[in-house]
Amino acid sequence: MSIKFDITDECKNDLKADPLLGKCLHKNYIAPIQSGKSVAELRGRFKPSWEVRVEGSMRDLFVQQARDRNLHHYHIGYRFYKSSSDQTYPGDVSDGIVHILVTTNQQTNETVHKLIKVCPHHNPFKLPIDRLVG
Amino acid sequence: MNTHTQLSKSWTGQFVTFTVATVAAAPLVSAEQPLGSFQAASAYEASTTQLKGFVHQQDEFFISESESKDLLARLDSDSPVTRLPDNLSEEAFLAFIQN
Repeated sequence: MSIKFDITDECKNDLKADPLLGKCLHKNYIAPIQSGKSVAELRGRFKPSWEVRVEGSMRDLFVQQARDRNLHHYHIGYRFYKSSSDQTYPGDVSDGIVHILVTTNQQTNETVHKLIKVCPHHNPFKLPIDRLVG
Repeated sequence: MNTHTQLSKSWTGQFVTFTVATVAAAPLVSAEQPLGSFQAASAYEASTTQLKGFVHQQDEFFISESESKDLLARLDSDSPVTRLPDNLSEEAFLAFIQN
């Protein structure tokens, strides 16, 4: 099944923040898939976004919309990859994330990955400790 | 029994390696984070449970409230869409981004 890429202007603008974002997105996601790899063969983790922990009052709506719209995300390796312990969705993780709407046309057997957002720093770094002793 | 655990760090290029050791100096876990991810610290005290949670959290991915709002808005955005050509080179993709 072939995979085509669509990208929104909003996502394109996200990539202008740092040229390395575009390089990582191309090297670790677009190029491998265009060369015939499946998402399961990519280095980074590709995961449904409704299975991610969501904080705040928008949680239920987000989870529902993510599931209904088939929203996924992929770790693009910005600025580097590190290993992960997730057994269900293997693949390395990184701070840089691309959010993707996945649609499949069964008649044409074509899947489209619509890139809607790129985040350079997905998780604010938090330390679950009370104090640091310097 | 002294349950304190010490966290020390060492720098290698842009990375800082945190090494956790018990009082007996037996390494338990280590994690790498990019420069700037931690506030200045050379050591801290925590229980082994906290440390395991700490290492786990570095691996955990979550969507904040502000990010979920932004993503929901983008799901229904009318932002123009471009179909990327097949076999797109890196140079062509980077040029496309800047145009």
